[in-house]
Amino acid sequence: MSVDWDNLFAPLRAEVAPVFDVRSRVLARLSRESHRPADEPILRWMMVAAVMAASVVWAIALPRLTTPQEPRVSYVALIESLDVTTEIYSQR
Amino acid sequence: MAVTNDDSDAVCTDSDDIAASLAGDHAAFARLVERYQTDVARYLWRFTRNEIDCEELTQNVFVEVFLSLASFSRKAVFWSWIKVIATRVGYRYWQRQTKSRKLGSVELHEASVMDQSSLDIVEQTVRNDEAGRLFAMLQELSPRDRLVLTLMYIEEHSVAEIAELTGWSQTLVKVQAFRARNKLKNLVERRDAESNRRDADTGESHVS
Repeated sequence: MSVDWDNLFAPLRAEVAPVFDVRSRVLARLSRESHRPADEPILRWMMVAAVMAASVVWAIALPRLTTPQEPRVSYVALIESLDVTTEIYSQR
Repeated sequence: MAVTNDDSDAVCTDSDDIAASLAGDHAAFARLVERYQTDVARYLWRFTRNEIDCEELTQNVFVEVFLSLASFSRKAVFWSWIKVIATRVGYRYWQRQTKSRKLGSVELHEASVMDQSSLDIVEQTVRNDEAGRLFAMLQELSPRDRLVLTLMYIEEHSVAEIAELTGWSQTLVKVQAFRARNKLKNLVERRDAESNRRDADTGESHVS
């Protein structure tokens, strides 16, 4: 079955829209919009960013503060190196 | 279209009023609203077919126009620019409607059937005329399908114009229109089959 698209949509095309006068309402809404602080969203985003940054710093710093740090020098390795040195001297 | 964009006086007045609106002159913006509100309402009627919603969307369009007036390029035609905004507003309205219909169908299913008679009356009113029946069929399509068919066959725009209004590529417009036509064709065929069956049933009952 083929559809005559132009004919199918003709009733909707022929419809007449109602006429409105929205001037006063639009202006009232705009004056309400202008009373709202324009930088409010920016402030909100800045606060969110600050909280996120603080939580990241806290997440990195907290484990370092609470867990004991590994010694920088490995004593086992030091003793082993001494043994080797002793062995070299004894061979001489 | 009632707006006389070809008229050089109208274009001149538009640019003057736009400049004055940007400078904070609300009376100038009121003049712009007065000049275009009939066309915006007529365009949004395609999306709503409901006076209350149409008026509210018309207001929304002009609020958006005012808020983004600074981004309007003087080289563009003002009405074309407003129409892009109106298309976006209308499309968002359909998206909200589709979402609420999905939620509403669940709520209706859970609700008792006591409001069924009033719903039937509303539906009967909506489907009362041929335009209403077609509009109801279009409501069964996705917002994208509805948009492309509305712009192509009701507003009678070319593929290039639809691409400009929607921000889609021309290829996408053609593909979307092809799919939307197929879906609508299926709906039309189903409606015709149902009406034929109903006629046959009525005929049989008259015979018996």
